[in-house]
Amino acid sequence: MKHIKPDLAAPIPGSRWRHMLSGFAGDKLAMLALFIFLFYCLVALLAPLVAPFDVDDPAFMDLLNAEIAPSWISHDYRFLLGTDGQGRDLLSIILYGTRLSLTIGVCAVILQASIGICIGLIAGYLGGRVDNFLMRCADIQLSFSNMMVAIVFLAVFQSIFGVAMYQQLAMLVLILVIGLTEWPLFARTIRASVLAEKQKEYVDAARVMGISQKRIMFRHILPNTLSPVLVIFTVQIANAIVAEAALSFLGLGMPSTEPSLGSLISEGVSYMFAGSWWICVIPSTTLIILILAMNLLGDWLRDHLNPRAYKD
Amino acid sequence: MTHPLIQISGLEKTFSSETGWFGQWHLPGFKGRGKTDQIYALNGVNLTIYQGETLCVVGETGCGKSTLARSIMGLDEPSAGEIHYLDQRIDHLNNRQRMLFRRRMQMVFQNPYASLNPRMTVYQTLSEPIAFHNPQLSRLDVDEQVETLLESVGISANSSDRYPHEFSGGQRQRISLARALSVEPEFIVADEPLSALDVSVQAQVLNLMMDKQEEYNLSYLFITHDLAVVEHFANRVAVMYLGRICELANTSTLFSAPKHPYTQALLSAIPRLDSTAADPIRLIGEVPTPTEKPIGCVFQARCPYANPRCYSESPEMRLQSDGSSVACHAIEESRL
Repeated sequence: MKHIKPDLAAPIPGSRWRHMLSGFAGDKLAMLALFIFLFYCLVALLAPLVAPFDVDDPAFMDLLNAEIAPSWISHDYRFLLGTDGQGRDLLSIILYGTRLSLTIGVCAVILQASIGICIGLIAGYLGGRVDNFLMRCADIQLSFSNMMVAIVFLAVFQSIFGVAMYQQLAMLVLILVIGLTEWPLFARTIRASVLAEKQKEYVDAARVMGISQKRIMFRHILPNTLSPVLVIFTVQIANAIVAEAALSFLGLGMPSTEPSLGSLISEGVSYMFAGSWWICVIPSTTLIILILAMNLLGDWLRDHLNPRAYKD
Repeated sequence: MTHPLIQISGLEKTFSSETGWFGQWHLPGFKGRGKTDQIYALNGVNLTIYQGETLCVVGETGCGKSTLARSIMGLDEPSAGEIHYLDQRIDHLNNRQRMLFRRRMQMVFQNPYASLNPRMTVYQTLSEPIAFHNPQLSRLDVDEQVETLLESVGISANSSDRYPHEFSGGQRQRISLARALSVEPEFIVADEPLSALDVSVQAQVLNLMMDKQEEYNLSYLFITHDLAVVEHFANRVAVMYLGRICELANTSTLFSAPKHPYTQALLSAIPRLDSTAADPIRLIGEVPTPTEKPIGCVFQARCPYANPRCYSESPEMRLQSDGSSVACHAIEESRL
């Protein structure tokens, strides 16, 4: 109790965002997580400017430079983090890989969230048979392991359209597969909140005004159910990035010409026991830090957006 | 005053409490479903509301007051019976057809803490219905209307960008009233609008409602538990018991000469400063549950005057010499 400041005694009037920001500033771990996440986003956005090499340049891949250790070991200062088995600068491909992983993660979760929110709102608000039908669909979807669906789908896609076609569309297909398999999580959360919200009198008041069901769902109920969605959103981005990395690791994700973090790790593993540990370890560390930051942010948001959550 | 605005005849509402999800799929030829529980909330309500009057509905918890209000507003669909607005039947309309009547009938809700959307500012709450029902208005006109509306319920217009949680309960209930008035209705249903408020604030809101009634010639259907409010506010009073109306009378008649045994018991329970000696009438017997459809008079189980006829035959509303209507066999047979 030694940190009591006299000016904190009066409650701060103002918006919930200001309240959140003031809570944020006090939490060093959350600040660090946000800082790391923003750093990743910035680096991903600016990858073409930041990367020391142009990845599209044919000279970028030079087998003469293969498996050079990071500069602090090899003292070869052309390649800060060394090179991979094909002689590509590891720093450049990690930057581009982060960009790909983040894009796939964010887009897939936006897809998940839009499907999940629409289905959850409709199921919760209309109730009855529609609710039953949609929630049984969600149960069926949940009963399949996401990874299994993704593996089957990607394998079938590759065998039907050929690997060349797949390499062109890999990112889009990954976004679709990861996006379409995890919507029930959003749908169930939204449905539960909608069931609580639609009992409230402001919904009746809107109905008495004659406002359409669609408008009541999206303009009146949805804003009141968004706090848990925000939490799931951050955690799901981390999950989607991991899922993409796992699929890439299994050889079903991004092709090695256009590697994401997962495909970098996958390639690096085979060099691990040949002594070139950095090809696997550095992308792995990059991924782990990103996922950790996302999960910390999600935890913090859950604590602050839900006042009923247990706090000690 | 004598022109009927809303006529309700034989209104019934049954809620069924089906729990299992399987029970909702009505398979043809599949009769093995378990018995469903029914709640009989309204059992044949007949009521006429006249233009410009205030009709108060009183009765104990669970007697169907709120269901009556919600049925009139179209929030719950009645199981049987008819509701007429002027000369048009409105109870079976779908949302689109009902739109014409949305402007004329509005509702004020019980809980001012739940009846305003917490994520919408007062301006958004009020401008939405105005813009929705008057699409020809420009944005400036809407702004102006919201401003006058807020001022007219005693809330300063420059607080229109605030959220509901920044207002007190009484202010919120006045904003609720402003929202109801925003579409210029003729008829307002108020479902216990005062029960969540402090007594001093109750008077404020009640006076505001009376002012608005004078200003716009509004008719109110006012649901309340508070008999003091009824005496002060109502033109006529309907006493409900277990989904039926058992007595309907002018306020002064009802308070001076209550006829139905339930009304008598209800009024005797008001604490009075002037007559401490009078004992309240104690009703004995079990409070009935609405899970079975009542046979005979709804009040039979607790009525001290019940005879075999009361257990078999449902009493009709009969007009008395002083203008009140009572549904009671004992009064009809002059036993009371």
